[in-house]
Amino acid sequence: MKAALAIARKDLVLELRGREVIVLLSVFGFLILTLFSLSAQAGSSALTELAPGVLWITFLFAGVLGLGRTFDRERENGCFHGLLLSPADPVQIYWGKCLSTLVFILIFQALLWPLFTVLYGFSPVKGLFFSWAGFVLGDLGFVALGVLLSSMTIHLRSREMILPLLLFPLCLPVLVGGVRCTTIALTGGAPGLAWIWLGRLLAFDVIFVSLGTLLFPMVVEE
Amino acid sequence: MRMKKIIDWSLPLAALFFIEAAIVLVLVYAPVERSMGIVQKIFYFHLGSATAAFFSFTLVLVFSLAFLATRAARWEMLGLAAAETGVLFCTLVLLTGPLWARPVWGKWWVWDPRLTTTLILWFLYVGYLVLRQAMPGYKGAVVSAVYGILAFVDVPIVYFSIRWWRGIHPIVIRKGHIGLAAGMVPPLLISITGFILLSLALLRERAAIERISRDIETLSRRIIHE
Repeated sequence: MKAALAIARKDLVLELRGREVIVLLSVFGFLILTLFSLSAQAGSSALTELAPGVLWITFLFAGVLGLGRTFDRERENGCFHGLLLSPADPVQIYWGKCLSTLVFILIFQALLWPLFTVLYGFSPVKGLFFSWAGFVLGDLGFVALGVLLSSMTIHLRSREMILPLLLFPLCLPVLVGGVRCTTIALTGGAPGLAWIWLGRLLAFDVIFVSLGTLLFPMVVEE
Repeated sequence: MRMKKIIDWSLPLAALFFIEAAIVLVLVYAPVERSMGIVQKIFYFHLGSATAAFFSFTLVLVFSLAFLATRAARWEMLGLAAAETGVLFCTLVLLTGPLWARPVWGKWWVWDPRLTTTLILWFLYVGYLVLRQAMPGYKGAVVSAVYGILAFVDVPIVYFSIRWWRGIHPIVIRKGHIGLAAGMVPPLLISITGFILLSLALLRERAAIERISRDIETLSRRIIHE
């Protein structure tokens, strides 16, 4: 666990120095939210109904871009090889990368959330718990899959195209569960239902994190 | 060796026989459905393809696990072949479905959970093939085997999709009960058997082609080096 924390810390320090991933992602997310609002008729209720879906699609797009960027960093100068050669267990590397990516996405979401609620006419504090529980659990599944797939495609020439192609269909449960949680939170639906969807998200997290932990060492072996 | 030879010619023959029998039974023996009419007969081949697709995707999982455990090249070639036949039959499902839906539902496609998740399933295994194409060699084999395991997680979701969200896709087989007229059951079972045999025959054929093409590759490389 110590090695995992060290790897995550390394990524966070790098980001703190350069600040390129989170800043770029936030502007990108803001842009997508704006463009989506233009795609619906002005003042129509369709946008409000679609809002949770729009938000989650924005998360997915930004997430895959962020993954690409953090793994590009590892590829440059053969850093990833260096990591693999280090005495750290591959599982630790996997958890470390998951942890740092999770933190990136959560910061990105924290920056986007107020913009989203204001732009789409929701209260930024209402339904805060269920939205964010959905974010955290959804992100965990996304990150578990994303880090595994990124390390699978790291050396491919066409990885920017292949990664979303592989990752998005796998993220189906995360997307469905996350959108349900956000919808219930924003529209004030039955909390019982939100708990059920949170439970399902948690189940997927357990599945994807354990699959990632089991399979990652095989993916990176030489 | 002899056993293999026997399977080599008997499997395609059996597949051919069952598929032919299914066509005859569906067209001649099976009763015409009262409200949907003749269109309903697509269903026998739709469900047959669906069974073959799910069967092939399950084989992808099995072969992927076998490959990761043993690292023997044959499992990897079989896995690739199973993914290809799976995509083929899944494509057939997605084509025959709309042909039936257009006259019955009045629409080629609706975003019903069962339909959507099946389409996602198709994307997943197309992704598998893309990945395999982009990454040849041993590394690619390991990575696609890993993906073959991940992709299978979606198969049960397709199955549960109709319970989680209520859709309009008909559910034919419930617990111990088939929602069909008695005359429809034998043609359906024959059709399903035929499609599964056909998928197995294609799978073996495809794996054999893969093996031969790799042999050619190794041989030609050796000739160039000499």
